[in-house]
Amino acid sequence: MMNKFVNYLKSGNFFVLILVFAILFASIPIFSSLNSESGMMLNEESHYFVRMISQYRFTDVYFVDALLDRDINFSFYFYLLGKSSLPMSFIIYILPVLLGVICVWLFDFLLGSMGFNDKHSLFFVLVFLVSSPLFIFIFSTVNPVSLYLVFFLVGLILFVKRSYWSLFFSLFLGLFDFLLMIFFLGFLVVYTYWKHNNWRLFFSNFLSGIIGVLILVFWFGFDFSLILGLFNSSVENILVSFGGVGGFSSILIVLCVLGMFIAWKRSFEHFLFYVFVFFLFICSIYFDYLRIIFVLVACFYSGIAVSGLIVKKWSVPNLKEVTLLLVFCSIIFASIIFLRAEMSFSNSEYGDAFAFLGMLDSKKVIFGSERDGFMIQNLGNKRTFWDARSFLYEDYSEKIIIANKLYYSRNLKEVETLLVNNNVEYIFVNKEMFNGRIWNSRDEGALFLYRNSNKFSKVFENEVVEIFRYVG
Amino acid sequence: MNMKRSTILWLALIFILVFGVRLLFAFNIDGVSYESYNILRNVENIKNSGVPLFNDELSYGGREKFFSPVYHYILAGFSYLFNDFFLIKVIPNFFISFTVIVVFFLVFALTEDEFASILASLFSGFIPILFNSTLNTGSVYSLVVPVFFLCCYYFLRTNQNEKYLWKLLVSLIFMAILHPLSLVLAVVFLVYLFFIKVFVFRESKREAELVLFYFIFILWLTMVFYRLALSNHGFGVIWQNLPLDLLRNSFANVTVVGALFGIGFIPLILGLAGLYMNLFNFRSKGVTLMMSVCFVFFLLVYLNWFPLHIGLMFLGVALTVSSGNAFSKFLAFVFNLKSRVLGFIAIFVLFCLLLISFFPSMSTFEFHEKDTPSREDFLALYWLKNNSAKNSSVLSLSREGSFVSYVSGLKNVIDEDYLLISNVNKRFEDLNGVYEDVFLTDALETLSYYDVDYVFLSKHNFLIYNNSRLLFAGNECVPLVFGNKEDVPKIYKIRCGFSYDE
Repeated sequence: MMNKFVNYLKSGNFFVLILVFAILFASIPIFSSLNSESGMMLNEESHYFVRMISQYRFTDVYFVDALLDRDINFSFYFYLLGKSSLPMSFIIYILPVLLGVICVWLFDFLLGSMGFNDKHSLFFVLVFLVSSPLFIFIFSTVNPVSLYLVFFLVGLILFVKRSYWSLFFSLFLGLFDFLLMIFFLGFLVVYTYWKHNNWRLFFSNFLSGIIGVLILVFWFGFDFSLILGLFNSSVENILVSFGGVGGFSSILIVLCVLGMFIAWKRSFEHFLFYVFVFFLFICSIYFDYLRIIFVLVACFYSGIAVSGLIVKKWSVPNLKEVTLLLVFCSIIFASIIFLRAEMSFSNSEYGDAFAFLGMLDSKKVIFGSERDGFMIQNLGNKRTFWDARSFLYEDYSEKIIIANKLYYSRNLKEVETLLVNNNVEYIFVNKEMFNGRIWNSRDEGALFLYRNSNKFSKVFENEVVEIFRYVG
Repeated sequence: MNMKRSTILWLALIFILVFGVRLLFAFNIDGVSYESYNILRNVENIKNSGVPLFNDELSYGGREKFFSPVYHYILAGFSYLFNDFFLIKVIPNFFISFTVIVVFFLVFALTEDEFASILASLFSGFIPILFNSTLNTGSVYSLVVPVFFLCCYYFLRTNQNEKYLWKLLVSLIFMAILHPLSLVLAVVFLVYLFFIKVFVFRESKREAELVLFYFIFILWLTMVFYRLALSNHGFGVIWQNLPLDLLRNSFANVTVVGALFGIGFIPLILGLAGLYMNLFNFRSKGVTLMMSVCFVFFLLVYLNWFPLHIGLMFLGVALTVSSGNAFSKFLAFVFNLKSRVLGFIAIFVLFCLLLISFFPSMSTFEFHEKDTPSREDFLALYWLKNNSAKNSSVLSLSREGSFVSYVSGLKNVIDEDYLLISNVNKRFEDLNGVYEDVFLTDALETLSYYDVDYVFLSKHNFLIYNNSRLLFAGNECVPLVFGNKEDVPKIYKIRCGFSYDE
């Protein structure tokens, strides 16, 4: 049976199967969300993106977040989708999966263009890619990276084919995101050095990319401090095992290292590429846009590793079969664990809570956890005290101090003063917050005040959410 | 492997000697250590309901816990033969005594020298830090240490004989389910492969395959079983979510003096000599494996990723194995000397040195009185058990938490297991601060926040804070309900609380 499978892989007729896997994996969170009717998405930041697309579509406000009244960078992604005539439901539910399928096809085409003809390894490369948590995370939700990656891959393909149309894609990438453009150029320089040709094309792309960045900075007034803030990250954020959202599994990294070891050739070009990959890995810790690029490389080497393990004869054959089984189980478990953890939010009860907020006739602020901020803003159409992007702004450290007091203080006067000064009227508490994320018990810290003091009244309650109103 | 009958006899005698000395010291200490009570609670729960305390209603007022239950199930099996205190004093000491047998076989695999192996196994039984840390604590390391080195022994032997392969696989899987230290073992094997490549040994395909299999197995196991702890604490799980104050003490830096007293003079010096010889002269795969163990544990302790005392335990055993190799080389050198008299003098001097160095090491065998609760504390908590409501919460020092719950059957507010507890630093500081609070309102605010019904002031508490009473207590709000005014232990009841209703 193993031989039949290997022959099937070598024939290369598995691309349709891969596309089916890609659609399946990317659609699971979408189906879950539709089924629960909660309106919630796997990536809570997608709610922010959807709100911004709506803002770009229905207003001409491009440089300020109208709801929260804070500065933002102009985004071509929001502009393209906002000004397009695509319905919002298509943008939310169909477009990410479509872009995922296109990216898988483009990646396959790119590898073919670069001369990678080992169909056996290619199958595993693509399977690891479509089953990776990061692929699911990006291509099941509204996310600029899904579109940028398409441009990235098309640009690479055109460059490999020595076409000057790649200049346009360098320009677009420079306009979209200058970091992505830098790593695009990084790939180009390594490839050019490896092939010892195309330097003219490379420098043309370089110039084109720089022009794109300059237009972004000087024409659209790009604020770098809103990106430099993304340094607030750590290695834990990139590993799904450590609770990292939008990360990759540790087994993928191990297989990537093994694959690099198997594929190692003694040449400076290989060494240079490995250094570049290492640098990409380090940067992907801090810039989430770059993680999908690293995952493409990691899946490539992982596929080589697994293919090598299958083909190689082991001194203990049973051990080989168990090891391969563990590898595939780990890959699948990583995705399942990721989906289970992230989809716990996809619950109609949350949807009811946000719908309730949407019905409130209040212009005041809602205080909750950072993680709920985008969802309250998008689904409840209310201002929040903070959200997952607040760390980019100067007042973040002050907000942490205030939030800690609003979580833990038992001094009623202090809590009241803070609520009034920050224009907070409602306190949004979900189940996760008193199950260990903020509090360990139902009456800990300021929860005791919200539940027992006459200054607060509970206006909404279900299995997963309680909403308190400060009545003063 | 053919051994003389006398060697087997000597080995058995050493095992009995080490086990006997351990029991002697253990039974000389009144009671068991505070850390044992967590284990005893789990054993009791297993006997009653068949499962350990994954859902502990008493710890921190009620919470979910996460740990490997294998060791607890093993102890629960033995608990039908012994009562609780005998269980903690006898069984862990029985397990750790097997280290001498494992060390014997390891050294024999390296040297084929029975005399050196006997000597090394004798020393391994009395490594000070290992002796101290596993004497009266019921620690899981009493089983982890011998299993860890057993895996190393089978790994070395696996190339020589097919039967060792299956023994290795069984030991590795047992190690993996026993304790998360199996991840360190996987890293040790990886470092070993790296050293093999660097030292240009003949690479073994089987070793590489085993290491690959084990590493991937451990990764899979970690992902499946430890994901909750990993996702809550991230890399902080390495430090077990310890409060910062305790972290500083547990993860101290290793010093030469500390290593000397922790590991012992002869194992340290001869062990380092053995590693040196392996680096530059007499290279062997076995010593290279011990070198990998030393390298990994030293690095972990140096980077403060591993508690010092646990790191020194493993370093001590690995260096003892390496010292066996050095000792064997020394004996071979002596016996090859032309002058027999010189040879005997050299051996005599060495034995004197061994004896002289042995006794200072004995002086580090501390009696664990400060680590065990006193009889008076027991009586106080028994009284509390019979004179309080079942749902009450008791505040004590964190290391006494499990002891309080075990004896009184009441909830504790903090204990020595900090994993999966949020805001642990704040909780630790707040609750320890109560013992130094002067004003009633400050203390009551904290006590109400954590829903404390009783405050337990033990003899151990008195040693730390030098207070024989709570400074804010002795009034209507916080009356003394057990103990007399001049002495400890004391128990105070909290009658008042904060209310915000207007």
